[in-house]
Amino acid sequence: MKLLLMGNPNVGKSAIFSRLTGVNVIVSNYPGTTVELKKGAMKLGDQWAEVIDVPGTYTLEPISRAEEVAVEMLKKGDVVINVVDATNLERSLYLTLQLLERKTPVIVALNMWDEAKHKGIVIDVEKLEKLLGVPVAPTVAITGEGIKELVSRLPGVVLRTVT
Amino acid sequence: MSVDDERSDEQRWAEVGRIVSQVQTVTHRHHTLLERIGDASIKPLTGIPIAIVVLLLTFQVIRFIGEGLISYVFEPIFDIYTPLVMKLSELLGPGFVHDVLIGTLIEGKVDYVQSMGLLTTGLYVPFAMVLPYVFAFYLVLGFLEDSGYLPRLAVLVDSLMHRIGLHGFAIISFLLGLGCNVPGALSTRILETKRQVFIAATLMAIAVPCMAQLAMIAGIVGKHGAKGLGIVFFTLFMVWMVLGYLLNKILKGKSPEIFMEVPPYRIPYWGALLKKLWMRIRFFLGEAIPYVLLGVFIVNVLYVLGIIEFIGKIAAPIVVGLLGLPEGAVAALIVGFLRKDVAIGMLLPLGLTMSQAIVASVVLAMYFPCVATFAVLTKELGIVDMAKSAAIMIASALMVGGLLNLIL
Repeated sequence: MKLLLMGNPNVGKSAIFSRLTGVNVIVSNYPGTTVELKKGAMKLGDQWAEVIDVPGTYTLEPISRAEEVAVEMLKKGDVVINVVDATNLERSLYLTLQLLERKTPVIVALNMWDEAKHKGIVIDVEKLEKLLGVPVAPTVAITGEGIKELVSRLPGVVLRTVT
Repeated sequence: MSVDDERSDEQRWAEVGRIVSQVQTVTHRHHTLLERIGDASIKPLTGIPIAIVVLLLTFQVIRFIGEGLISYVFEPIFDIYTPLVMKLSELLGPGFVHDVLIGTLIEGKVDYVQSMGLLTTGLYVPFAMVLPYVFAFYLVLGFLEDSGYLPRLAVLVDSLMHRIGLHGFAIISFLLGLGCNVPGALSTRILETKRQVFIAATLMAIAVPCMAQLAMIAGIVGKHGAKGLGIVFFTLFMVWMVLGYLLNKILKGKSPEIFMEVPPYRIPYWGALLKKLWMRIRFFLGEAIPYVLLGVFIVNVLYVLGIIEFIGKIAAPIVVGLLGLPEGAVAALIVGFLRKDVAIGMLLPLGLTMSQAIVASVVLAMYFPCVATFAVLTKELGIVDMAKSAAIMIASALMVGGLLNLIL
């Protein structure tokens, strides 16, 4: 199974990638840090899934080569983890809507949740879930908060629990 | 919500607006200190002084940490190591193996910079001369990256960068290139057109020396005083500007404007900062050590076979005539294809005057990228553009080198 991390530039895709796979990648506070695909693996239940850190893009109509790479990848993924900047919801959702128009299942990681709280931004996660029709999980990638919930709610993934 | 049919731009934005208005509430609050600094570092009136202070501070911190590590950590370590090497030298006795492993003894002693053995210079250059500065540079760079200062610097230098056919964001590629040209060259991918990538990559290969090279230049030119270093940096900066200006005039096509997202200032998270520093140090060691050792080995073989002397004779008109360097500098130019720090180290035994050291440093920085950068550039630009870029490098290196030789 292939998991794609997609989202606008500088929303923390690489930080989430690091959290999921344990693979170290360069993370910085400016857009365009990731220009190549970075691949890693994570254990999901009893199977391994490939996780791909896709360069950031604002739309699915690419302008730069890094964005072309992103759109090209979308065809090959099984699940898209759409990383959204909670402090920039309005800007981020355009790509989310475009992703939802495609056939690949989507889960939204509402990242930088801590920073949004500090900025006085309150987001009704349940309502957002209902409106988008896909799971939404608040995360703080840099500290690892919310990553477990994100993984447990991945669409099409049944995590077997020992009974 | 229907998810099957494709919608138009406006429909999507309208939908975004509907969703946001239903799920998001923003409470009122005052500007934070970080936001105030954020505004101040973009407005030219306050931004330019802030940029100057940041850059000066960056240089000071890198020098302070680099020099500190050398004199308090690495030199003491090599002092402990010296008796071991001398023992080995006695055991081996004179011969080819001794020359390759230990190198030439100078006045009966190991000279870590000049001996040119795998176990002496081959270890001393990457660890005791280059690594301390690489460490210092990446520590400071990581801080600048994670705080969010770099995109603001990009906004500030945007109009300058347009003169050379790029836009402000390319400054980040050049800064990465100061650490090592390899990640610098890769980062040019964020630029929109092939033309911009070509200009940025060519300028980086020519006028942006990597930290390994800079550390060695500081060693060889710096011992004549700060003035020489100033001339080297000023020359490279002028080359960067003039060549960029010319390329922008000559090359067909346009350099489009971009809209860049400027992220908020964040207080760097030290865990992430240290992890990134560690990754970069590991990358440096993995990249540098094998090539440095290979470089030192090849120097020895070439000397023994008399090849360097032979090429030296052929290249004499250019090296001696045009650049005013001793014939022995040819060996450095050959090794420079492999690894620039070793190449500059090879200049030391030649006893160059200050102007010769300046010319040699500038030419070595400009004439061709090291093998690792060359491989990445060829992949990014393609063979045809790489050949064009290489022609520009060699021509400009000879021109600038010759000119410096005349002036100094």
